[in-house]
Amino acid sequence: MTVGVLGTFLLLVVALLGRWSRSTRLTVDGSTERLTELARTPLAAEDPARVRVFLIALGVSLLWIIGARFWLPLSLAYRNTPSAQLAAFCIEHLHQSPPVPGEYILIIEGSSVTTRGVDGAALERSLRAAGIPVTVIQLSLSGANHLERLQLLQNFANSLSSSDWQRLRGSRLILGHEVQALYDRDPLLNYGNNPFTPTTLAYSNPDNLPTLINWMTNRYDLRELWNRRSELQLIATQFLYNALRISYLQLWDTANRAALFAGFQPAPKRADFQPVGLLPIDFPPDPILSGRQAYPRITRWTVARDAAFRSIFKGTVRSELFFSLPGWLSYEFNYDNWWSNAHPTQLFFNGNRPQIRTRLREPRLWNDPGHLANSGAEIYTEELVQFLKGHWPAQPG
Amino acid sequence: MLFNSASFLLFLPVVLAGYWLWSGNFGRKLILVIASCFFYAAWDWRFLGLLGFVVVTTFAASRLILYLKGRGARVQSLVILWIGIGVQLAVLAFFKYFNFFEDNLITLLAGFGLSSAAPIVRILLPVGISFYTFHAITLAVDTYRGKVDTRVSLLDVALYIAFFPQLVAGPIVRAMVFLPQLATKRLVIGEDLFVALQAIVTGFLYKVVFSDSIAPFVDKIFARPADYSGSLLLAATFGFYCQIYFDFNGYSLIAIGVSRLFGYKLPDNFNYPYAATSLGSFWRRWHISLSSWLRDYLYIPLGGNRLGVAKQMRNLIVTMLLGGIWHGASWNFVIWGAAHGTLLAIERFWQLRPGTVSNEKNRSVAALASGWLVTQTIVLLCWIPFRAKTLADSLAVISGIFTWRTVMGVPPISIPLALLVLPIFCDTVFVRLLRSQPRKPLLRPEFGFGLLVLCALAVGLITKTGLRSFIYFQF
Repeated sequence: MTVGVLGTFLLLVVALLGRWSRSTRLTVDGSTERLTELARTPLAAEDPARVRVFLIALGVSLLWIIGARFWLPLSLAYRNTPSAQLAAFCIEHLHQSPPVPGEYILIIEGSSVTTRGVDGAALERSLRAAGIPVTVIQLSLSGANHLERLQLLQNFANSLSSSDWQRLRGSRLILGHEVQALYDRDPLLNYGNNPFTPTTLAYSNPDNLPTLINWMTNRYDLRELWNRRSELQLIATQFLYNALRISYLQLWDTANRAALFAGFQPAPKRADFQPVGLLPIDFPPDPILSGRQAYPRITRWTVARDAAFRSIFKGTVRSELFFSLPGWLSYEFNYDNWWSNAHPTQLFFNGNRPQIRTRLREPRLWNDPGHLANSGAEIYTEELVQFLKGHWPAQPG
Repeated sequence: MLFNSASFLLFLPVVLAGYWLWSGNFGRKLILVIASCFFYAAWDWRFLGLLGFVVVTTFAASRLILYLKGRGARVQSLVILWIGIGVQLAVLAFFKYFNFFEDNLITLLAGFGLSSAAPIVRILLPVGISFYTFHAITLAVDTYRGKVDTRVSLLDVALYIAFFPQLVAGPIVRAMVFLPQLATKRLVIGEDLFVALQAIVTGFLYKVVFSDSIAPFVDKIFARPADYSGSLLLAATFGFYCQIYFDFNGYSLIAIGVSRLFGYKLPDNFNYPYAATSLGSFWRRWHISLSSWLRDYLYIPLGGNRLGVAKQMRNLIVTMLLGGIWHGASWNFVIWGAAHGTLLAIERFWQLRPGTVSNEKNRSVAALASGWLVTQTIVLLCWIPFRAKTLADSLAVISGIFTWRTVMGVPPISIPLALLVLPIFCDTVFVRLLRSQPRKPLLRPEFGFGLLVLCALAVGLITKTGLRSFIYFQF
């Protein structure tokens, strides 16, 4: 209904503009309706109107973009996306757990390995049972690219009320970052080919563009950027799409709130995952990647990423927790071990430690080579509980 | 690359910038040819070779025809013309109709119990082949007819055939209209930009707002026509009646507007066909570049209306039948073309009766109204085989409508009435009136342009999400 009425109205406006103009049409045999078309002289090429129309077009577009920022907020058009629903779920969870003096609030962000591997509710229960007053906000999303993870944290932060912010300031807010070889080496991973959230373009929010450019310039040189040109084209059009609010009314119309989306979503074992033998306890070091230069070069940008994530919480983050999850692939194993050695001052829970891998050797505990099944997630979460208990003091009484 | 795709949104400004920054005409044309190749390769680069073959053979044929005509060898030039046409028709027949003939041959042989094997070879249909081979034929014929009497360069021929705005779905531009525009550097003033943007904005409104919003409803019903009631089938048929108009006219307007941004003028392809009060008038308003092409390059060479009533009827039917087959290799298009041809012949026969008023201006309001109703009903019903996937589906839709079938137990589907009625009514009545009565300009082009930019941005707001290809790309 909206589309039909608004579209027809616009059609009439455009037709009226044409009526007032000197528009001409060409017939099939080449004759025009107005003689002036044919009488045009080279002098007409100097028509200063051409410059003016470009300037006017540019001005109108800029005014539109500025106006859209205030009157057409993107958040209204993307209310039905998984990231918006997950943020709403987490806000609900925060409100359900009453504030306690000296409480920890642990915000866990990450990709599908975290979504399937870290049971936030179980983690919270176990830590509370151990006398650690904690609220776990599981903000990881399967398939989410880095900018989507940023958007997810922004969605969460933007939904916080002033009393929520007061609570965060009074608590020990810990931001938990997933460390993952595949993701950490590529700021554009899953950007254009995201199987889980194919229509979620909310993260290509023009406000996030400087952040993305910062990540890319920290990660790629010019030659590498040229090689990623098809993705850059996609990114440019997605940002343009959101900046100009293309399809805004359609998205807004269909953005009814669906069922909220939990951050921990275990998956059953994949049928084609049939490993021979048990999970190896360790792998030989990779001579190329373990070289001193490779990892630092490709993960230099992650510092900027983690800083961007942290800045969303306006200085309320007290400390950070880094965690990785185990996997069947050697490069992830090697990367986690390198990360552990390269960042000795960071609180890092290495999921590829022999002790954890030993407990997760059975293939039935896995969904696929990179993701834990539910039973595997239980074990991993138990280990994470033990790790945190060792680092966070319990509250007396 | 679709006009309504994000990649085109980037492609066009880049090509425009390159084109306008280059000062020489040759360089500009070269930029356009390269851009057109890139545009075509975005679908399937493998068919660039075929496009190149069509360009080179057309160039060779037109040069030879000119050379032979210059030497007075009229018969030899006619032979070259027929060879040139034959080559293009062979290309078209092979790529477009091979699968159709193969399927029908297998069915026929199976009927005689000779074979029931699966098809041996399947040929991929190159996008836009029907359009660029027709451009090639046009150039050869226009050269032979003396309408193109200068030695056109290979670059000009390449640009005429492969110019990206009209490459994949027309409009089919006459060589005599397009080639003279290539002779000199194109000039663009503010008014050109206004006209271009107006066409582009209207085209996008038609395509991404109206057509793409109607399409899901039509697709759903036509996917399983036997499952739906007569009222829904009629609504879906009317939906397609609107959809195809907005889709193809939208494409044509965007093509015309984009060409105008480069300074090239393409002819109008539609002139409010749903206001037509006779079938003849409808075909002078619908897909004008094709219908006039068929008239000038097929109907008139067949004898047109010069050889008596019977042959005129025959020529009409043959022309429309071939027009139907041109649309696609399917019995549905054969039926669509034959139906239009036969009904056009009947209408022409009716108009030839003594005392019949053929000029619309002299007809009474009642005659115009009844003529409009009959014409549009015929057009509406003829769209059924055009849209349906199979002959059986066509019959299911037609029988469902005429028996006013009622179906129990099917979940109700709401008919998007506002979308089906409002845009087509306003376009055919009000927009047509506004366009037909131009007034003294009130706005300076640049301010009108600014308002159009605003309209274009507003169109973006209500644009349908997701890409949907243009219907005529399949032809």
